[in-house]
Order: sequence, then structure tokens, then C-alpha cells
Amino acid sequence: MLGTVYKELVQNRFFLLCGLFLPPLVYAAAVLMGLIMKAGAGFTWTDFFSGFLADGVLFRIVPVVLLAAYFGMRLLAAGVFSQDESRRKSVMMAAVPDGTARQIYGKYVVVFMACALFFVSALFTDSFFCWIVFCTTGEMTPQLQPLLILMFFVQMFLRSFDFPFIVRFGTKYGKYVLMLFFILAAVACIVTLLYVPVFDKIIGAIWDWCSRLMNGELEEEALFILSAFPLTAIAAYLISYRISCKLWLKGVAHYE
Amino acid sequence: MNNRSAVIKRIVIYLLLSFSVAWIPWIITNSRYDFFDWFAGEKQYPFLWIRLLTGGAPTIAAFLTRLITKEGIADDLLRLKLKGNLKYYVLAVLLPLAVGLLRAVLARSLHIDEDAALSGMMTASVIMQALWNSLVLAFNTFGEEYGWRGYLYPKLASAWSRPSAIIAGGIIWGLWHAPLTVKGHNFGTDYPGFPYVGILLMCGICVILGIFFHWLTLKTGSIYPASIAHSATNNGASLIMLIFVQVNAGNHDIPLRTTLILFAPMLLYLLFIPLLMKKKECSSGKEPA
Repeated sequence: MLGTVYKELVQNRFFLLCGLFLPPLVYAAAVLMGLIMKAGAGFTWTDFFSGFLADGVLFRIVPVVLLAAYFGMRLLAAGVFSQDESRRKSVMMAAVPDGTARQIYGKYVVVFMACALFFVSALFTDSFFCWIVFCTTGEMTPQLQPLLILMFFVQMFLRSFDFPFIVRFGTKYGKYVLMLFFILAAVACIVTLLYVPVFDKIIGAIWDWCSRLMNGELEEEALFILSAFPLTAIAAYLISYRISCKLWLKGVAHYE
Repeated sequence: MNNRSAVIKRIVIYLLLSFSVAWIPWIITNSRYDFFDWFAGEKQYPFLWIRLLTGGAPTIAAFLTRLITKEGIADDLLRLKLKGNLKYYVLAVLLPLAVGLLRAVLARSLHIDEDAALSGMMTASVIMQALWNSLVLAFNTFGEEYGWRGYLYPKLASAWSRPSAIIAGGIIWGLWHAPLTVKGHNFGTDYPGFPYVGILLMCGICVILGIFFHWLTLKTGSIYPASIAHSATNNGASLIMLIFVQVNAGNHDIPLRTTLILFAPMLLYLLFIPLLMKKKECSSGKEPA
């Protein structure tokens, strides 16, 4: 028996392929766009890549498009859950030993794999593109490595919030419940701020601290946050998996 | 063809592929660029894709060999097998970091590197960075581990014996690094017997590291703990050293004697030899060939 992870890999191969091929496609599209814009008499690759660097076109568009593509993968991640939203199949899976954990585990692994594939593929493509520019012009281009690492963990962190809601309320209603949850949390914060004076002071202190952090006055603190965030994201993903396992059967009751 | 000669044929094909996929790009890049620029210097980012590709050469070779020899590519080692093995995953991260800390203490007490003066918050940041670097960059070392520990070592063990697998496998793994060692990887270029002594030492280090990585693979029946341990050795340990000493990455002329002293804590891995020699030191009770 090949297991639930194998089943998820087969079912979600399009999602995984997206993770693998989106970054090269984004770069290829950017280069193609540049070629269309700059093509003509007297075209040289050195000028082309130097122009790209000087204009900064590529390095403004590519990170934005990559970010959009990466977070666009959220829709596909929700699809990983939606395809198994059948009460009969889910009840049968729950009857198997460790069925609940295995069902959820497979989905969390596949989403993690897609994010990791996107990260590795984007890192590879960005480095390869920097190499082409370096070989043609001898110039070093700004690298996206720090952004890609941050994106990977932000993605994991956000998905760890999404998934328990999707599991409990289904893909159809889960996103609305999550949105409602955040709206209620924001309203609760605002109400508390309005009526409890001590919270006002706390928020003021936090605001002041954030301003100093942004102005580069708190380098050590900034490094601490950046170092702690990946571990927090990993822990959040694992906790999210545990919560989803507990909520899954309650969610199954709502399936058709 | 009997079983042993079939295994030897697979080993030969695997080695040819593994060495050529890594060596050809390394030799070309070495001939065109300065090693300390492209591999370890400020200009290394444009060459990262070459490092990712060549670092994955053993895995590429393992998959290709499986395809060529019609062995099939389904492999039990690719499963995480977290259940009951979590302690080995923790050990895979913590032991290489502990070895890194020992190296740093040694460097500080022998005044090899300057003392670091980190604040409490910076120390915590360094520890956390070392931890997640060990985990995240395991995707890179997986490329080596799936080939060496996942394919070559079990094949060598089934053709000969487990001790020969560890020694021969370690030597092969060390030799595989030769195009980098001859350019100063790990030991610099300024030492007596350069570069042969360096290649020899690299083989020795690889034999020792291979003991721990192979034990992890056999114990868990999964390739991921070894990948994490390898990543912790390469990335986490050098970071954790910053707690005690200011490691100067640009200094490639450290005397060989000093380098050897710094590698001495790795001898801790020899403690795993008796464990590795136990017959049933494997989650499935047999060599995962």
C-alpha cells in the first residue's frame, strides 16, 4: 500500500507542478517582455542585460509577480482539501486505523512540498538568471534569496491559520469564517482600545517600538525577530496540523 | 548474472554518473573563476544554481541508475517515518550543533579565533538561526544523502559488508569533493602535501561523518534525518560557532594543524561504530538496499 501521501501526490500533481514551474515561467515572461520592448537594430545581449539592471524593470516586476504567484497558490492549497470533501469517503477513511491523522497528514505534506518546490525552483531560477547577467555584463544583480526565504515562512505561517478553518467548516465556508474571525478580533481590539486606557498606553509603546525598529535603531531586536519567525512558522504549522486532526470529524458532518 | 555482480554493475554506473554530473561543472567553473569567489566569496550567489545542481548529483545519479538498471524508483527511504523516530530527528539536529559548539570552545580556548562578544539577544538569534538553517537547508544536503546513504552505502553493504560500506563509501564521498579540495575547500591551499593531504583528510572526515549519517538512516529507515544532520554539520554548526568565536570566513590560510584540531570534536561520531555494527540496527531489520 502506497499510503495517503502518495494519493495526495497523484491527486495534486498539477499543484506541485505549479510550484515547480511558476518561477521559471515568471522569469521567462519578464525576459520575453524585455526582449519585445528592446528588440530592434543594434541589439546586443550585454546592452539588454545592462539595460535591465539600469532600468531596474526586471527587479521591480519579478518580485511582485513572484509574490502574487506564491500567494495565488493559496487557492490551489484550498483545492487540496476541497477534492476530498465527501462524507462517505471521509467516514470510510476515519474508520481506518490512524485514518484521520493520515488523511490530514497527507494534505499538510503536499502543501508543504508545493511551497518548498516553489522556493527551491525560485532560488534556482533567480541564481541562474543572476549568473547569465554576471556572465554577460560582469555585474552582480540584487538577489531575491532573503525575500524568497521570508516568503516561504510567511506562506507556511498563513496556511497554518487557514487550514483548521477549512477543515472545520469546509472550503466553501471556511474562508468566510476565517474572515469573520479576523474581523471580530479586530473589532474586539478596537473596542478594548477605546474603553480600556491601559491598552492605549500598551499600543502606544508598541507603535513607538515598531517605529524605532523600522528606523533601524533596534538592529539586534530586528535580527531576533527575523531569526525567531521561521521557527514560529514551523511550530505554527505543526500545531495547525494537530488542531486540524482534532477538528476534521466535526467538519465531515457538514459534507454532502 | 548473479546478484552480487548485478549490484557491482549498479555501483559502477552510479559512481560514473554521480562523479560526472558533479565534476564536469566544477572543473569548468574552477577553470573560469576563482574558487573563493564562486564557491565561498561575495560572488557566490550567481553560482548557487551550480552548487544546487552538483550537490544533487548523487540523487540524480541514484534515480538515473535505478532507471537504467530497471531497478524501479519506488523507495521506502523517501518516507518521513516520524512516528517513533522523533528522537533521532532531534539528535540529527542537536549532535552536529553540539560538535560545532565544541569546535568553537576549542578555537576560543586555544586562541585560534578572536573571542565573540555577543549580547544575550544576539546569542538567542544565532541559536535560532542555526536551528532553522539546519532544517530548511536540508533540501540541499538531501541531494547528497539520498545518493550516498540512500543508494551507495546499502549497495556496498550488500555486495561486501557494512564496515566496508562505511569505509569505502566514506572514501568515495571524500574523493567526490576532490575538485573543490584541490582549490582550497575546507583546508585552504597553504599546507604541506597540498593538495593530496587535503584529499586524504577529506576522505577521513567523510568516513567519520558517514558513520553517524548511515546509522541515522538505518535506525529510522528514512533519508531525512541524515539530510538534516548533514545540513546541521554544513550550515548550523558554523553558525553556532559564532556564539564563542568570530569566525573569519574570508581567512583561508589557517594552518593545517589548527584546522585538524578544530575537526577533532568530530571524532565523537566514532562512538556510533558499535551501534552501527549491531546486526539489527535498522528499522526494518535489514539493509534498505
